[in-house]
Amino acid sequence: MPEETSNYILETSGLSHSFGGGVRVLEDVSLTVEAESIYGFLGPNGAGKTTTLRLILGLLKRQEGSIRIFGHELEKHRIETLRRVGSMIESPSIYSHLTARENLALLQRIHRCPAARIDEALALVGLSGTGKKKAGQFSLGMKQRLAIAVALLADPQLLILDEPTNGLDPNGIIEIREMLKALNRDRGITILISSHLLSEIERLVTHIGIINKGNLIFQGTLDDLKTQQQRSIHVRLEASPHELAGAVLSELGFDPEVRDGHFILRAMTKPEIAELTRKLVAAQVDVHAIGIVRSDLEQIFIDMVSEG
Amino acid sequence: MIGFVNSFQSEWMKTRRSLSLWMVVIGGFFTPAVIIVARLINHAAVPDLYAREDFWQLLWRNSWESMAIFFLPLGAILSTSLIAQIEYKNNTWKQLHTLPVSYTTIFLSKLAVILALMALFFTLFNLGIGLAAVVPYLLIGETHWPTGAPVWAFLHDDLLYFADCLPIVALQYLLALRFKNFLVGVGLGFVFWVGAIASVSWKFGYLIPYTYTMFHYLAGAENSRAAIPGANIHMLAIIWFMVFTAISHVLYVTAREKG
Repeated sequence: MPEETSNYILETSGLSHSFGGGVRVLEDVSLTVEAESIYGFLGPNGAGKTTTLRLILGLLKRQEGSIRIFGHELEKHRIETLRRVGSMIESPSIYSHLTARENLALLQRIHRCPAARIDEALALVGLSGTGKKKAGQFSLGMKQRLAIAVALLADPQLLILDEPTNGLDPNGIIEIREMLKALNRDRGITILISSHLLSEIERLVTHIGIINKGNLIFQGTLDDLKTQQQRSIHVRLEASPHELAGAVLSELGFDPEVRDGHFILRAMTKPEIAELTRKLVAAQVDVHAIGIVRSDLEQIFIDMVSEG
Repeated sequence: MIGFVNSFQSEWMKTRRSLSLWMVVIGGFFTPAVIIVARLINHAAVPDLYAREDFWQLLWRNSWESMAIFFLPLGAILSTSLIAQIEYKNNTWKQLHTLPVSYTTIFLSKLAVILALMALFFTLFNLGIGLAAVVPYLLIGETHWPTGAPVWAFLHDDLLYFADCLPIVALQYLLALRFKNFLVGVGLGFVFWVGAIASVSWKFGYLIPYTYTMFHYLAGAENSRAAIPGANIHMLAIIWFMVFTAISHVLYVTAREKG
């Protein structure tokens, strides 16, 4: 395969897809995943995350747009590309009648990697001691970890994980998160991970893409999203009489938005809030409640998805 | 070539402890086991039987009777379907299709594993036939060991039977790759097999791909009512196998969804 020509390890452009009956499930999705980043691909269930990942891996035939991995078109360099990619799509893909070691051994032949990688991969996911226990007898968490070991076996440069913490308990989620962080930090593996919960991957990712109803509605760094969070900070005021309060606020130069019977004001410092309260009281307005409202990232995500 | 060998080894490992492997082992020994039991029960007739000049031919034909009509076609239908089911049942097609292996290699290595299982089936069956001769001889005294087993003729016959079951393997493989539901492939296979049994007395029955193991056996049977074709059924079987395999390969490689 010739030398890579792109700054992005993964890049899709104008990716659109329809299933039978003309149902459009993806519309012009352009993802850009930087090398050595952890890219969180977020969206509610049915938003198009899995379809996008299946297209990226060639499990679905591409209809519109392009997919470039390591700077090359997937279709033209499928085998060379897949040598450098580990993946787990939806539920774990493991042979339930085989042991964890056997599951990896049959793939080790395909990847032509050293046999020692089997032990390394099992140790990495904490499944070294499973012995002769068949994978079908594993708990869901162990199956997920084995599926991640399968994805890691060939020491990939890009790891694509579709909701890898689905069905895991909080401890399991933390374990997987720490493991992925370590892989990214210590081995420089680029990770593309999908989830429908921002809170689940907020402490893991460096970049975020948010997809809703097949459209990519946000893409940027986690800091970009936090900037958006800063912008969303506001002051909420509950006061009466409503008309008088509105008039006083307008006189004081505010342009209040009324939401659910409350005034929504721009962000202010605490002294500014105290000053405003004094002025409202002086103008015979009864102030029932006033305070700063911060949206957390999850709320921003929900707001984005709701607006979409 | 190395890619194919590695892929074949990987596919073969998947059959470990699988139902398809158990079925091959049990199916291979079933008819010989029945013969052994029958001879032990009817042990008084064994010395005369072992004294016959055509002992080996008789044993061979007795063994192949149920095998050619029932167990070989049904075994091919079931074991082929079960091999594909390993991927469906474990939800592993998507994993398999994201490995750095060409679709053609995956297709051929899976087919090669099915053929290897069939070869194992034949090997165990032949071993079973040998045991069907040895076990009654050892357990029932006063019998003479029959000499002159036409081993090469039997091996030649094995090869022809193997060729005869290839169209079944290829068509069942096509169905197994196309339909996730195990019952579709097996059900259709069963319908084709029943159709084949009904067609052996029809003059164009030889055009039906599931009839060749039956015609092969019935061609040597006395008082057979089968319409034994003049055409070379073994060659027809190989042609059907190649046609089905080619169609199956095209459908598999060009499938829009691969897991």
